[in-house]
Amino acid sequence: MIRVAATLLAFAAIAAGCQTVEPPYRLVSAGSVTVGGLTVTAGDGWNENARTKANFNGPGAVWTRDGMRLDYLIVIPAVADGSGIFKEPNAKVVYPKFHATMLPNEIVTLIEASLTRHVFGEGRSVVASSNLRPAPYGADKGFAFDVSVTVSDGPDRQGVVGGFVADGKLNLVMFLAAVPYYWDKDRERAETVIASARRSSAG
Amino acid sequence: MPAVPPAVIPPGYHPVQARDERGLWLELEDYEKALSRSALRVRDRTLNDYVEGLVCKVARDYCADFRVYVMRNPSFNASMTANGMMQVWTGLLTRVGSEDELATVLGHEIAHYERAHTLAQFRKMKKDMAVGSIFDFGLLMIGVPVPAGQMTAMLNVLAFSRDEEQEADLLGARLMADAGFDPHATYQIWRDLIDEDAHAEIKREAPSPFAKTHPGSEVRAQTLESWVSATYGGAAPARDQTQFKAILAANMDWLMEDQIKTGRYGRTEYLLSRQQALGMAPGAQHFYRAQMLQQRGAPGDDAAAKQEYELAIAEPAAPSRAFRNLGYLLWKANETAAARTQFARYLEVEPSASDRAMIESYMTAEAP
Repeated sequence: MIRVAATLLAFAAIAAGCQTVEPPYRLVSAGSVTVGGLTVTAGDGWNENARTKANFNGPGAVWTRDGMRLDYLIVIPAVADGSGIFKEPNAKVVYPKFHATMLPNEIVTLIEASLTRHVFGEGRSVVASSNLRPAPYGADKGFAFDVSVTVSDGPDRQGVVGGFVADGKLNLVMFLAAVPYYWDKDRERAETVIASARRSSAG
Repeated sequence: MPAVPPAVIPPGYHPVQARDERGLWLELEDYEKALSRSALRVRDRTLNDYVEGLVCKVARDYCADFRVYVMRNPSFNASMTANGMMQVWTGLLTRVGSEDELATVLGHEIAHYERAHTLAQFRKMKKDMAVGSIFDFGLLMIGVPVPAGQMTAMLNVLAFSRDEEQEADLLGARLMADAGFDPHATYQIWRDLIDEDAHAEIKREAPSPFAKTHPGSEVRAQTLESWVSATYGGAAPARDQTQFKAILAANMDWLMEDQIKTGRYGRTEYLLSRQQALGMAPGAQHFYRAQMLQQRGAPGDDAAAKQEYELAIAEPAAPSRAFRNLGYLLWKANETAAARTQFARYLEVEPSASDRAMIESYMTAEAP
């Protein structure tokens, strides 16, 4: 349990925010925003939590509208073959890895496992997916699916994940929010951001 | 030969004098309210009735003192608090080889209660800490406001001493044997855990919470084996396991999905072998093994998973997802026509599948 606590501490900024120190937020400018090699179109009202950058192996961003306890949108560009989608906080634990040959159904499993292990806590949550569907991201063929997270304490979350594999690298944008209010309120805005994802080089 | 310790708490016990004990009960009652509302509590009535029935059978006169909470957690663990709140994690159900092994763990936890071990640990910890409440300590460890999680962390900090564990082993063994269960299961379950640890792919991986607070598994197995053999003689006649197996079979799909998602593939492989011995349907065995291989993704795993899915779909009890997953693997192997056949079979069995649009996109897409 202490190991789980340490893992959650490392991800507290994503999972629930820090209890005593307010993380530094920066308003995300509406319009095109590039994170690593991935460009999305942000609408109004998103705030970037700069403290969460350490949770990624490369570039990455976490945005929120009403605070990290209630909603967050995660942008993760260009996850390389053999890497996890989040940085591994514990060298003694094996975390799920992306492989360039993965098909969408396997990426769903990867993300379920990653959210469980890194964000919500094994034994503290059940992450399930549904509605895997094709989704285009500019010229790149990709996928989208819905996520539901049941947690031992606190509100359950609903989410939507979009992504595509290009040049053997996985690009992801996902949004999770507390149900029912925050999910219902911001789902459409988040889906618009996710659908806007493009490889920067592809224009 | 160690003696079986007597119960120190009578049936129907409720603290009236010790202020710290009353305080502990009050705090535990608050925690229990949160636990009873937890979304991870398994609410399936049949499963709960079955586990509660076993608890009552082992506890006998103490039956009314216990509330049992089956919690969805793939680790092997069970716990008991000073006020009779018992948690059974679902990873325990995935691991026990018989109803008697399950009764062993339940008996062990009931014995902790009857010997008042949690209260003793609580007092010791308060003395050691000297300042603040035990609940503040939980808050510091977690750092985020998750009330049930804090208490769970605290309960895990309350590791029992070696003597207390031996007391619970012996008293628990006597309780379950008196209730008609096979006492030889009391050491077999420890041997099973040792066996599972030996199959872990990552040896440095932390042991299960139960094992972590119960050191010296082989020593304990030996002590129990000696005591049981001296007290009850050799092997007992095999008990009927029909209900136990039916309960497992009815819940195995999500139990095994949870286990596979832990990413502990060596342990999962071992547990699948044990379920095979317990009579898991061959179609289900092949399906779960294929899922595990596919998720592991080591060199050669895709080919091995494909083979397992092919074996799964040849059996009558294969989940419909086996057709879909086989289709994806065939697609990856550039066997496009064969992939489309499996996708079509999946949609035939699951016409309103939520991933229908994705599957149809593969059925009409150009070959990779």
